[in-house]
Amino acid sequence: MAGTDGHALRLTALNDAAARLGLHAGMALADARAMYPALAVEQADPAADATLLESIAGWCLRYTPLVGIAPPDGLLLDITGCAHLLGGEAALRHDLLLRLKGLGFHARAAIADTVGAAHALARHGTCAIAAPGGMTEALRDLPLAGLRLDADSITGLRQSGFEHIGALYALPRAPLAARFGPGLWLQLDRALGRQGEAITPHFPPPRFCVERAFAEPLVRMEDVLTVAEELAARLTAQMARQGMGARGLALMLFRLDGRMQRLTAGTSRPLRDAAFIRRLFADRLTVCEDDHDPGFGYDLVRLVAHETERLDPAQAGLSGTGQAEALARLTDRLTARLGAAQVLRLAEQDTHIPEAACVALPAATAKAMAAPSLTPQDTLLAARPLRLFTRPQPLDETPMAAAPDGAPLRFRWRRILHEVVAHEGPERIALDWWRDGQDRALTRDYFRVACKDGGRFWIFREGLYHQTAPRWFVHGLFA
Amino acid sequence: MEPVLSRAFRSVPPLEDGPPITLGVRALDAALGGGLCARRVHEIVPGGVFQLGSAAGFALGLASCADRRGAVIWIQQGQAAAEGGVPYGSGASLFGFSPARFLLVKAATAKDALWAAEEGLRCAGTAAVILELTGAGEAADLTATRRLNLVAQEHGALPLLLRQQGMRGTSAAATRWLVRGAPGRADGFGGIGNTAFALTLEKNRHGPCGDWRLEWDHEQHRFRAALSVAVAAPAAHRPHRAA
Repeated sequence: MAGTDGHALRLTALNDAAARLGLHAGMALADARAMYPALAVEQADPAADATLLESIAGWCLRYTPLVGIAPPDGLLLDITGCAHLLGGEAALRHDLLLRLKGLGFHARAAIADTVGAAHALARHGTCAIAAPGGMTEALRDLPLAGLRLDADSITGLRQSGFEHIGALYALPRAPLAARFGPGLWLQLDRALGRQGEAITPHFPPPRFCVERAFAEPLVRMEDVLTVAEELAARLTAQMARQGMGARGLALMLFRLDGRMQRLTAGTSRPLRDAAFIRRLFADRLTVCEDDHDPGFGYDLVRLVAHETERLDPAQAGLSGTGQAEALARLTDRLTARLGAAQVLRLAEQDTHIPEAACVALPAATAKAMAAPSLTPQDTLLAARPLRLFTRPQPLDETPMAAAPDGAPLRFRWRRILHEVVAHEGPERIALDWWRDGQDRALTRDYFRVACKDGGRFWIFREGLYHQTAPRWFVHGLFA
Repeated sequence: MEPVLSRAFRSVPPLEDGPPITLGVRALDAALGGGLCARRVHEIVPGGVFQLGSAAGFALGLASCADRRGAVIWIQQGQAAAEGGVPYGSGASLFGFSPARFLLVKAATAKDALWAAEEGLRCAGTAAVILELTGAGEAADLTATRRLNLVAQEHGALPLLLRQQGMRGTSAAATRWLVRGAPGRADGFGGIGNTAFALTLEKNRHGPCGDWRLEWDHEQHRFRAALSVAVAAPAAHRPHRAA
């Protein structure tokens, strides 16, 4: 593999045969070619590498729910409380490496108390599992490259005569910090566990989690859904004990060949209904069936609630709650199949700008709305159309008006000529002129016009006659 | 194929009409056989795309007559919103609907839109489902409308099918309305007046077709006749009965 580094083409990765020839990563491609003209070189593709790393991270979720990515080539697994499930740390590491090897990856793994120490041990160490509390000892003889420092600092330290991490332990801090920056001590303290460091999980960590492994893989999607419902029953029982309901769910399907497929579903209210969870995922599957090919089958299915909310037991049958509940469930199902941006609720906002006064928000996340501020008796109400164009629609040509500032006598819109018989207005609405960078006159004069052919329009003139050539738009249709 | 289908159709029990929804205009209710069938699809077609506002207003009026508390699921297919705009909350208040009662659904395809309509009809909190299809809405054909009828039978919400243009084929709808805006009664201040509809009842399973003129009462939230006498054309020829 070769990639560009600055202006030179350099080797970024090589296989065992090339390594045996004495080549190494970071070497200029021209040098390598000079040594071995027959070298087979491929263009490096960092984006594809990142995608692959992400998919391996998904696969690693089978060991722990908390997996972080350390680009460009590392994965961080927090196995606290997980190791005993696979028979201890050594067994877990062995299983992980064996399976990765089976999938065709060459990997190194180390287990340590801190992220920094595991990073150093996995890349440069000989001992795979550091004794708990023994980070100082474990890191003493490792090269400085094991600390996550930039290349300049490492070269500088080497030139100062330091080779191993242990050499830094007894040094005075201030002079080195002055030369190499505070990052040096931060990384050392993190590796030694004197400073905390958290793994940033790549997938949202679950609050509740149930799973089932299969000796014989599942290949039919109906079976997967049945398993999902069974898992959902266990999950809801767990949540019920703590009085919680799920707001965000994920169904993870671990495929035999190492791919992890993740289906997510959100709910607008906390949910604890196994049959409904199954239907949500069935709806999700109908849209993305192509992305979820079972291949040789799934050997592990996991259901996770990564977002939960308090759900107190409610008394059924009180007036109104049943309807609201049914509507929330409908919202969830529509959202699961069509997407959150397609299922909307109307919300009124306290502004006079027509487009912003009533906006459509995703129903799955929008809170139940307060009563509208405008009462039906409000005289302004009659002045607003039933249908509004999100973008005002320009008229075909500037219409003829009785007076320069008046309503048009007739206008042409979408190639149809409308003869105005009655009008109300103008109602002047000034936009947020301070937000417009182009310094336009953003004043709109709105007219409500009724036409001879029965159409009723909300049209406006943008701009003032004496300042600019005004433009006319249709903004809404009245009933 | 043909005999199989006809046998299958014969085996389906006839649809039951629920209690009719009275529109509050006596002559029109009489022509509809007591009122609008609550459990059947009703088609609404605007006189032109620019009259989608009137058509939507008429649909909301019907929904308001059907149920004053439940939610309205308004499904717009594809480019329907670009063609005729999105429902606007403040304007809908005139029909007695607070914006919170709307659930807007944008469906990319007619298939998704029909699915969403069925799910909406099955939901207990729904007063009406307004299914707005682009163009003539050919996807809502005889089979699709029949399906909607069957779902509505079980759950009782009012299905309203809003086509942006008239369709040539048949459908299982109980009524089809051609809706145009009409000049409203003048309010004495020179304004554009009340919301008024010039309706043509093009298809009616329970009575004659004809022309009607209705007005919407924004205070009481109900229809009233704009003329004292309704003009009902005698229905000599009704081709849909043959279908």
